[in-house]
Amino acid sequence: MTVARDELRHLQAALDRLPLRTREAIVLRRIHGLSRAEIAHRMGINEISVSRYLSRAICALADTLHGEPSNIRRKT
Amino acid sequence: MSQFGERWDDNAPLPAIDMCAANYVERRDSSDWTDKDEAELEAWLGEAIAHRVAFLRLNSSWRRTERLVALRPPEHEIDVSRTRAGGRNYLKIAAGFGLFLALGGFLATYLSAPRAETYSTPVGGREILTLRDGSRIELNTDTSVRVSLNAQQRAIAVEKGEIYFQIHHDPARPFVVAAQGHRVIDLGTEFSLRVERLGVKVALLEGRVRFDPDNLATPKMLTPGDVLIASADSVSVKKEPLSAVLESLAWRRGMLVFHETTLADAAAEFNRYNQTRILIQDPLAARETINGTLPINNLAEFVRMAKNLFGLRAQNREDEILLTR
Repeated sequence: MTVARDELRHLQAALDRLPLRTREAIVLRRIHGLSRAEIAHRMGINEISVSRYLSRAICALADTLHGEPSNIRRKT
Repeated sequence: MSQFGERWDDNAPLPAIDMCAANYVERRDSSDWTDKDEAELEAWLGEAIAHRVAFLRLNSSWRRTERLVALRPPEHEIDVSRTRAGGRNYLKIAAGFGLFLALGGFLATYLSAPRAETYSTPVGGREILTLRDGSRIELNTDTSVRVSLNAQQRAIAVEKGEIYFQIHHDPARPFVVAAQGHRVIDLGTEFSLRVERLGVKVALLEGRVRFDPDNLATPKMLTPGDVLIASADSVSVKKEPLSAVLESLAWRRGMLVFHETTLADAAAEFNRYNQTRILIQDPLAARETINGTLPINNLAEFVRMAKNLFGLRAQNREDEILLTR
């Protein structure tokens, strides 16, 4: 139970870090369960833009949840 | 290499493979996904290992977000500006019980009375606070602040650590941040402030702030990209590209970004986030520089990097890891 609550808090913090429109799109989709067309209508944009925001949200959430892969080099 | 900016902006471009994979992940989960789409996805996954890796990674985090449905409000009211539970509902309940007037009276007294609350994070911690005025402050590792909001002023005293501010501007109620005797006065803005032993560092991302130094010297007006460093007796301002300011805020997503950073400085920065300290014992390696990103809380990753790039060996002690030749 605590684990589930921690996970939810973790997800919520990840959501809070998203840029505004990206966050709006993912909240409408994941929390309110709206379809792409409904989100497009509500946000006043077309479905392709909705897809783009959702894809962006998925990438950013994956970075927050899994951690970004490290990527480090020595100066050459 | 402004990775931060790329991922954390509504419009900036993302790596094509990630965008493509994310698009499949999202479409596959909706009702209009067809067998033909599935075949197309299979073909795309077969094209390259990188496609498969990106898809699996993004798909698994997408699955985890299913839990978010628990945040859905009980009534048919959509408010995307806040996902946090509570707030509004308390108000409704209060009204329902006819307590509204009483609450109003209480609120008036409450708002005008100075009342400070202290918030802090442990080493390695990170916390976002949403203040009653809608401002957001994000505390980095080992940070402590005192917040007092009243009808005339909003004041934050930073005792130690680093904070990212997103201030809800209100000309009638200035937002003042105090640290080591210096004061930062918000004029509608996003900025970060870091308190170190030898001084205070303020980096402005958006809007404007006024900086009043402790020694009563002339105030400085900062514009986006300005990075100010103030010690007890001197203040300097340097203009940086916004991407550099964003990179210095990579801690908000759990990462550290290094640019031509010496291994010694990188270890010092890393040590802010971890109880176990890393000490570079080899003086030559300590002066070598690195570029790139590392996860903040991952000691093993730092040690692996030192081993792979500089051939250093790790010696584990109780509270420290010595890196030697």
